[in-house]
Amino acid sequence: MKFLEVKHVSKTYTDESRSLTVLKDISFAAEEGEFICVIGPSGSGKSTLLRMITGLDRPTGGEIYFKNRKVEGVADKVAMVFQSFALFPWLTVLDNVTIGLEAKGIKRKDRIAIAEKYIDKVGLDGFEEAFPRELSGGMKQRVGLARALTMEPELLCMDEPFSALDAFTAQNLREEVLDLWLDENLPVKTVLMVTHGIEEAVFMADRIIVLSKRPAKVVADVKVDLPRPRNMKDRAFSETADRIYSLIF
Amino acid sequence: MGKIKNVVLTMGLAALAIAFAYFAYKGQQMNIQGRPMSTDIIFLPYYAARSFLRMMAAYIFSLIFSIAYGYKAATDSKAERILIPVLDILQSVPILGFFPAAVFFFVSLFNGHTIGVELASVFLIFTSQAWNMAFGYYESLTTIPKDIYEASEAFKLTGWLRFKHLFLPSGISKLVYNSILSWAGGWYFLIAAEIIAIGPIEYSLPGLGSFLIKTMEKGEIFKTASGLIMLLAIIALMNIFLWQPLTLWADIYKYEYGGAKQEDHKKGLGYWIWWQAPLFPLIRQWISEKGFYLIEAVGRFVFDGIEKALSSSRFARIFKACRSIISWAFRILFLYILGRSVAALIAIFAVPLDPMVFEIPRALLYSFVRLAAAYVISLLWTLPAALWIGHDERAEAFFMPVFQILASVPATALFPVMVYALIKHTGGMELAAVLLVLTGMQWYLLFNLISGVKSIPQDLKEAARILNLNGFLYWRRVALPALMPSLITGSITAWGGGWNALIVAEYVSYAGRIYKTFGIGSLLDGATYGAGNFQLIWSSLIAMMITIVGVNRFFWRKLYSIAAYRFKIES
Repeated sequence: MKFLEVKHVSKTYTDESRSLTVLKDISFAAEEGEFICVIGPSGSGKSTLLRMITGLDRPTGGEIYFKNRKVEGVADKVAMVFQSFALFPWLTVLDNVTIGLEAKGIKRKDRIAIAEKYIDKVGLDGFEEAFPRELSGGMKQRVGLARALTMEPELLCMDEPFSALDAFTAQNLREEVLDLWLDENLPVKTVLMVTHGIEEAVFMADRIIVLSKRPAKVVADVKVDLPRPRNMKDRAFSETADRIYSLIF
Repeated sequence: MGKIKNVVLTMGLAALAIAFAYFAYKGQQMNIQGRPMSTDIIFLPYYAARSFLRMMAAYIFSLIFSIAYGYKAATDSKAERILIPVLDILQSVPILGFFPAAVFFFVSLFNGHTIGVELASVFLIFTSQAWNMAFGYYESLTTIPKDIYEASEAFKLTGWLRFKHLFLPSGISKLVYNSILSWAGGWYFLIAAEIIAIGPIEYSLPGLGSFLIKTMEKGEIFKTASGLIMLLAIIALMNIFLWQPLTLWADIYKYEYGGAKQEDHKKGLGYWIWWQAPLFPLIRQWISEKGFYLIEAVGRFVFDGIEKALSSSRFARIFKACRSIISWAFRILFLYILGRSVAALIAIFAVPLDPMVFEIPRALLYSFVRLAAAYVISLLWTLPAALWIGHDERAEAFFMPVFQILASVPATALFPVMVYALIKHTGGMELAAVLLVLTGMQWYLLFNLISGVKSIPQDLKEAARILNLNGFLYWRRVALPALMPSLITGSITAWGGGWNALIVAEYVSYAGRIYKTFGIGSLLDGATYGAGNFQLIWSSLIAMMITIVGVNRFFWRKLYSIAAYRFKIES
C-alpha cells in the first residue's frame, strides 16, 4: 500500500480567451514516515500541487490517492500549515488552535484538553488568551503548527512555512519541526513541504522532488541520506545542495 | 453579453418600480385621515423616542437584509450576477423621489390605516440605510484573504460554524463603519419621511422630524431650536456610547497583523461606561450573553437546521418539491407583476402628454449644472482639508469628531432656515439650492479623501521625505496620485447624495410659503405635492434614473478602473 500517490496530475487554468498550464504530468509517491520537500522556481505551481494533495484544489488531469483513497475534498488525517499563517485575527490563540476540533463537534472542555498538549509541544503556553496580532511571526507560525497538530494528521502539508519569518527564527523553527516529526508520541508520520529554499530542503528532507519552471514537470527525485542532525557547513551538505542547484538552473 | 444583461435588468427593475407605481396609484384614492399634531414642547421627548424607534426598526431591517443579501451574493456566484447589479441600481436611485409612491403603496396595502404611513416612513429610512451596508458586507466577504478562506476549508468549517468564525467576523469592521454612515443617512431622510403631504392630503407622523418642520413652518424659532438640540444630543450620545466603542472593538476584526494593540481599545468615555462604570458592564454582559445564545440558536437553525431537514431522507423530497413550487410561484408572480406594470405604464402614458414632460431634459440640465457647481465647491475645500487632516495627527484628533458630528446633523432639518436666511440676503433661490445640495455632497468626499490620505503607506511618505519631495511636489507626485481611487469613490457617493438632496433642495416650504427653482427636483416635487400628476412624476423619475445610472456606468466606473489600475498601491 502506498501512503500517498500522485498519478499524472496536471493543472490548467482556462478563462475565456486563453489557457495556462502550470503543472504537467506530475507523478510521485510517498512512503509512510518520509519527509519530502517539493522545490522549484517561483510560479512553478508548487503550492497548487500541495493544495491538490490536501484536497483544497482539484487537478484538471490525473489522480491523487491518499492511503489508497482518491482525494476528493479535504481528507481526514491531513492538515496544512500556511505560508502566511492564515490565523483568524478575531480568535484567540486557543480558539485558533481548537477550531478544527470545534468543526469536528468536540465539546469545548475536551477541545481545550487536546489543544493544551500541542500548545505545550510547540512552546506556546502562556499565550492562550492572546490574539494573533499580538504575537511575533515565529509565534504565529507556532499557532499554525499547533492548529495543524490538533487534527492529529498522518500527513502534514506545509506551504513555505518559514519564508515569512526572519532567518534566525526560521532556523529555530525548522529544528523544532524536525523534532516534532521525529517525536514518536505524535501522530505525524509524513511531512510534505513546499519550499524555494534549496538549503532548507537539504536540511530537512529525506527526498527532494525538483520541479521545472512552468509548465512544471518533475525534473528529479533526489534522495538525501545525510545523517541527522544535519549541519549546513558540512561538505556533503553543500555538495548535495550544489547538485540540486545545477538541476534547477 | 454583459451589456445586454444590464439593460434587461435595468428594464426589469424599472418595470417593478412601475408596478409599485400602479399600486400606489390605486392608493391615491384612499383617504388618509389627517390629524393635527401638537407642537407643545412637552411632547418633545416623546417625539424623539418615536423617531428613534422608527430609525431603530429600519436599522434592524437593514442589518438583517445586508447580511442575508451580502452573504448570498458573496457565496453564490449565480445569484451574485443578478444581486450585485440590482444593488448597484438601487443604490444610485434617488430614493426621496420614490417616497410619495411608497406612501401610497403602504397606505393602500393597509386600507388607509395609519400603520401604513408608519411603515412607509420606516421603509424610506430603510432604503437610505440598507444599500451601503449590504455593499460593504458583500465587499468584505469577497476580500477575505485567500489563505484564511483556505484554512477554514482545510479545517472543515461548514454551515453555521463557518459563518460564525469566518463570514460574520470578517464583515464586522465594514458593518460597523457602514452602520455609522447609515444612521447619518437615516437621520437625513427621517426629517423628510415624517411629513406626508400629497396634493391636498397631509399627514404627519408624531416625531422629531415633523416637530421640526411644523415649528419651522409656524416660525417658532425657540421650539425649533430645542428640537434641533434634542436631535444633536441623540446623535452625540449615540456617537459616544455606541459608535466609538463599537469602532474600537471592530478593530479586532481587521486583518492587519501588528499595529494596534488590545490596550488601544481601552480608552474613551464609551469604554469607561461599558467596562468600568457601575451597572453598565452588567448590562453589557447580559446583552452580549443573551444575544450570543439567541444568535447561536437562530444561526444554527438557519444554517444547519434547514440543511439537515432538507437532506434527511424522509422529508428531502417534500422539501425539494416545496422549493421548486415556491421558486415557480415567484417566477409567475414576477411575470404577473411585470404584465400589470406594463399595463399601468401604458395607462399612465396613454393620455396625451402633459406639456411639462417636455421640460424634463432642460430641467435635468439645470439640475446637473447645480450639482456640478456644488461638487466643485465641495472639492475645493475638502481636498486641502483632507490633505492637512490626514497628515497632521493633532488636527485629526481635533477635527475628525467635529466633522463627524457636523456630518451627522441632518441638513434637511436646517433647509427652511437656510433658505429663509439666504433669500433675505441674496434675493434668489439659486444660491440656496446649490448650498443645500452641497450639504448632501461634501461629507462623502471629505471622509473618503481623509481615509485615502491616511492609507498612504508610511514607507512611501518616508521615501518622499528622504528624497526631499516637499510642498507642491509632494502633493503632485505622492499625495494626489495615491488619492485618486478614494477621490473617485468619494465622488460617486457624493453625486449619489447630491441627486437625492436635489429633490429637497429645489423646492422648500417655509412659514407657509413655497420657494422653488427650476430643475428636475422641483419638477418632481411640484408634480407630487401640487397636482399629483402621475405622468410627470414617473417620467421625471425614470429620466433621472437613466441619467444617474448612465453617468455611473459610462463615466465614473470607467474612471475608477483606470485609477485603480494606475494608482492603486499594492500592499
